[in-house]
Amino acid sequence: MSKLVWGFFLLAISFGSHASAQTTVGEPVVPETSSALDRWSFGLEGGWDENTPVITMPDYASDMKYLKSSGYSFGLSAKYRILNWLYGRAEVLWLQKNYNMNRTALGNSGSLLNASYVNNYLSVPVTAMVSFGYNFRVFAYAGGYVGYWMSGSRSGNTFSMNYLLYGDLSSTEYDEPWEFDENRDNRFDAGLVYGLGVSLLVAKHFDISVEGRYYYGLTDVQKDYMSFRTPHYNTTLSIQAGVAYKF
Amino acid sequence: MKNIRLIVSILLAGSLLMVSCRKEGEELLNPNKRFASTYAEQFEAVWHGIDNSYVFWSRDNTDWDAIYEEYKPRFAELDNMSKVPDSVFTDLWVKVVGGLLDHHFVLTVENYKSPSRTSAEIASDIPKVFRIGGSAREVRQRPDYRATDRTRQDSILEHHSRLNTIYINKDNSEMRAALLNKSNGKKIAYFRLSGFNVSNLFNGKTPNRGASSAFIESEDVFIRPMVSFYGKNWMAATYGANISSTNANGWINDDDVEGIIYDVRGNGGGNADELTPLVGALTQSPTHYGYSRTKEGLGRLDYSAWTPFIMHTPANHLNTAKPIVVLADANSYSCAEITTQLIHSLPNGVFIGKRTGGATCPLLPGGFNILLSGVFGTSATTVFDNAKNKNVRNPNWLGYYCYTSNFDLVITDYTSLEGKGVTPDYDVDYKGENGKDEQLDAAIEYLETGRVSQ
Repeated sequence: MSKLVWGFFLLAISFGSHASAQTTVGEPVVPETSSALDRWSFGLEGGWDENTPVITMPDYASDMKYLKSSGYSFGLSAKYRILNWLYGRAEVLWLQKNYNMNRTALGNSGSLLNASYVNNYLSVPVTAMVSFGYNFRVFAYAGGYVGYWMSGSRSGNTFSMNYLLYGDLSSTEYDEPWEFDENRDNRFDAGLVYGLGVSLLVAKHFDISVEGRYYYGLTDVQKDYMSFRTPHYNTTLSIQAGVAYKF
Repeated sequence: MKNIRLIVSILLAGSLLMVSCRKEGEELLNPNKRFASTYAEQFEAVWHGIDNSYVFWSRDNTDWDAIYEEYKPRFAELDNMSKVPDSVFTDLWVKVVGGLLDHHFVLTVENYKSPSRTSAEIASDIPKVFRIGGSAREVRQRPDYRATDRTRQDSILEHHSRLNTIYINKDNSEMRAALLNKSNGKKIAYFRLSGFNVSNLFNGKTPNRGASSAFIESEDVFIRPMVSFYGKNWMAATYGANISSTNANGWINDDDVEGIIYDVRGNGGGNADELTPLVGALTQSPTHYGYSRTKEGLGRLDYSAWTPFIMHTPANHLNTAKPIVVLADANSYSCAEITTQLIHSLPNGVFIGKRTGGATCPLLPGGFNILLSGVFGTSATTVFDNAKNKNVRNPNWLGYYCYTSNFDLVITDYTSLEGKGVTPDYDVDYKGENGKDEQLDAAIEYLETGRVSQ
């Protein structure tokens, strides 16, 4: 993982250096303007994501497997051109960080014990972006995000009292909204975000973009409410497309 | 430009440093497989087992982390002592687990440095074994608590002025069935169950009499109360018992019977799978008792979803709409409390007596690895003793066994009765003075008048 991060940053820095070199020979990639508004662009973006829960269960609960699951994201973005190669970018996103749980304690019937968790976050990534090119541009960015766990739900199959009363190993289906526990659930979310993408100027004021990004959660999904707790982090890979209006 | 590059560099460096900020989980061991050879390890095993698997952390106010901080060193001190007095050992454990909410909870722990061990125990490396239970103490400390006096209750019932017929089972402990006269010439069917262990009647207690064997009612007195109350047909359908009784449908469906008293006072519970045949048979349709959940993860607050707990109505149910009074008290536990709450929730049910014990959430020994909750523990291992040329008990093994619930069970409005018990519709004390069973009399009065005056 750290190699991936390092590689990504080296790539980002090299982009920045390249763009910077271009500006030094007097050929700005984007013409400088006198209006502050000309430096802004605003856009809509949305896409698909895949969240991986990072939970290492101890040996005796090792049959409890936490698995990645897909979701969606949608939101608004604002971008400010600091230099011809450097931008500041802020977004407000609805972002899903879903995952699944599957138990195999019952062998072949392990699929009877499972859960699908859907988690909706309001996420605000703020990144520094380097970009080069003209109508077709390649960009990379890095920064951080803060978020808020807005809502969730879970569905699946679990044991009921039928197990005790009737020796019935078949499980009971459920589908319910997630009830937040203020002692357990950490609704504040923060971490790092990195991304890489391309954009194309399709009209005088409009460009479209496609990008991939990686959210690396640094806040535990649960609060530190007990001494020997198994940490739970989210890592989310997202692919999204967007359209932006440039002033 | 320099400032911007500086900022970018700081951001990048900061980001890279933060990547390593995720915490690693602690190594946790299965409490069924931990090896405790010291008192400190015994404490660790029990503490962690409860920490990860106890189902009541969402409603138990015990500061479990503070318990760890305070008592881990105290148990480590025991390892430095040549003898560990029983009172010191048990006092420490009472302070650790005595305040837990779970009213099923019993901790069995071994002390191999007990000075009270006999020479034979020392020679065989057998430790002293202690049972630590907090809930029984809480129940006994209730201001209106009275111990069950079953002998006196039996005597009162057998000499009650309303008694018409009574059947007592052979070993004088499991059940009673009686017909009581109403003032209008009709009858009340009375049934007392002292434990949900009816299957014992068919297995073990009476050799060579399996459920499929033919029972002769006149000889098999031990099942006569059940046959009389539930009926021959019910017995046949429920237990496959072929009984020569003429009482096909039992007193419950006898036209002369206008009310039912189901007495679970002093009933400590038993097998949960006996609830449906014995209690579900009294209902007319499936009864929504409440919801249950178990653990789903090792965090204290990692719970499964709530799932409905429906008491099924067995195919051979007795479909009675007659008023049913359940008698219960502080010595009614577990299945007896589920029975009490169930009858209490029926449209034709009422609960008379005292608040029940409060061990309302069931358990299943052996279910730990599936449910990640409930009973856990380890017993002693053996080692080969060269001098004795045989396997002997591991002399340094400190066994522990924690008896605790698998399920968190609540009633339909999600109220938990754990530690509280079921509250009666009519709170009536049992004094047992002057040959009176005040609770039984209140039940009779209710079935005659629809109210309780005392």
